[in-house]
Amino acid sequence: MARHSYEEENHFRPIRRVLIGLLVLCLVGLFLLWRIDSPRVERLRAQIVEQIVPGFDWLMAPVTGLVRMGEDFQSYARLYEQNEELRRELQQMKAWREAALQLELENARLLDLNNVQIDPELTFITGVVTADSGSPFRRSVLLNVGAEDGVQDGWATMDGLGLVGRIAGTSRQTARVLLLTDPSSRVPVMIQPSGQTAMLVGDNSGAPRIDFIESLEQVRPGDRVVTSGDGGVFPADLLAGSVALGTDRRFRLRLAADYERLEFLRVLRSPAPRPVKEAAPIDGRLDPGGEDAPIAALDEDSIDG
Amino acid sequence: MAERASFHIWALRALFVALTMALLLRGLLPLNVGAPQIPGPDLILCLIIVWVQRRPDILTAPLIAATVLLADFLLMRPPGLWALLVLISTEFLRRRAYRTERTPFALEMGIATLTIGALMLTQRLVLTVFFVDQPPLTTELLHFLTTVAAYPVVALVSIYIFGIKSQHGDPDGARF
Repeated sequence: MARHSYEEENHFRPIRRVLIGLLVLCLVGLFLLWRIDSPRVERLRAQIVEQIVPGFDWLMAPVTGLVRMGEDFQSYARLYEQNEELRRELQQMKAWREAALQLELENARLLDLNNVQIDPELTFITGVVTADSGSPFRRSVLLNVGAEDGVQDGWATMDGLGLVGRIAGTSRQTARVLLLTDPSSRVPVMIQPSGQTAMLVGDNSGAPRIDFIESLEQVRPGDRVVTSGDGGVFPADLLAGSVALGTDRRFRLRLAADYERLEFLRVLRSPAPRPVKEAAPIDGRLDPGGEDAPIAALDEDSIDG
Repeated sequence: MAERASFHIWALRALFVALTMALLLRGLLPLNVGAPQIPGPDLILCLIIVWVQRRPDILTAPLIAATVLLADFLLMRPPGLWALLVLISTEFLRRRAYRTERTPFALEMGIATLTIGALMLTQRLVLTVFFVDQPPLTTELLHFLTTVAAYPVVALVSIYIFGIKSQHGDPDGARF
C-alpha cells in the first residue's frame, strides 16, 4: 500500500518539481523586490491589509468588545477595594483641580502679556484602532482613517493625553501607526525641566529607552518628556511621558498614553516638512564639507552619549 | 467512493484555511497593544507541520505558500521570506511522510523542534545577510520555545478534534 503511494509520487514528480520551483522563484523574487524597492511592496502590503482587515470588522469588533467586557467583569471582584482607592484619588484630584484652575488663570494672563498665538496648524483627525500588528516583534496599530481623509506619512498620533506614535504607511482608508515601543521607532525628545534633548528609542519593551542624553546628572526619574520638534518631522511640545529608571539602570520612558487601551487616536495634521537645505555657515565660519547642520549635531550627540 | 474522499479532502482544506484565518485575526485583535509580553507561539507554523506530516495530500504546496504569504503581509514580516522557508521545509516533511510508515510521537516532536529551529535560524541568517532590522535574540529564542511548547497541544487538538490522522496506504487519497 505504501509502495503504491510511493510509485504514484514518482509518477507526478517531474511536474511537481517544476511547480515547486516556480513557487520558490516567485517567493524569492518577492523578497528581493521588497529588499530593493521597499516602498512599492509596502504599498502593496497596505492595500492587502486594507482589503482584508476591514472585511472582518464585523467579526473582530464584537470579539474585541466581548474580551474587554470580560476583563472589566474580572475587576468586579475587587469592587470594594477599587471604590476606596477611587475615593482617595478623587480627594487628591480635587486638590489638583484647584491648583490647575489657578495655574490656568495665571497661564492665560501670561499668554496675554506675551501675545502668544497657539499654533493654529495643529488640528487633528480622530481615528479608531481596528487592528494590532499581530506579531510579537512589531508594535503598530491600524487606524480606520487613511489617505482619503488626508492622513500623511510621518504625522504624529496621540491618545487623549500623550504621544502614541507616528503614521508609517497609509492606504486609501487605513493608516498604520508605528508605536513608540516598536524597535524601529526613533523620536527626538526634550526632557523638562532641564531642557536636554535626547532620542526616544523603541526596543519592543513596554518602556522605550531614552538615549543620547548629554549630561545624565541633570535628569531625574519623574521628569517630563516632550517631543522636541528637532528635524522638523514632529511637532514640538507633545507630551510623551515621564522619565523612569529601568531595571537595567538606563533611563526609560513611562508612557503618558495608555497603551493597554488604545481605542480612539488623534492624528495631528502637521505642516509639510521643510526640505533639507545646506546649512548656513555658523558664526561666519565656513563648513568645509558643506554638511547639513542637523546631521553634524546628531553626530556630536552620539559621541557624547 | 472516490467522490466522497475528494469531498472530504476539500472540506479539510477549507477547515485549514478557516483555522489559519481565525489564528491570524486573533493576532490582529486590538487587545493590550503595547504591553510587553512573552512572544506567543507561531500556531500557524505548528498547524502546518502537524498536518503536513499526517495528511500531505491536504496541504498542497500552493496552499501552504499562499496562506503563509498572506500571514507575511498581514503580520508586517518581510514578504515572501518566511513563506519560502516554510514551503521548502514542508517539502522535506512531505517527502518523509510519503515514505515512512509510522512515526512515534517522540520522534515527530524531535523532527518538529529541529524544523522550527532550523526555520528561525535560517530566517535570521538571511535577514542578517540582507541587512534587515531584526528583533533581539532573546525575544526570538522565547518565540522558538513557546512555539515548540505549543506543538504537542496543536497536534493533540488536530488529531482528536479535527481527526487529522495519518492515512497510510489509502489508495484513494489524491496526491498533489
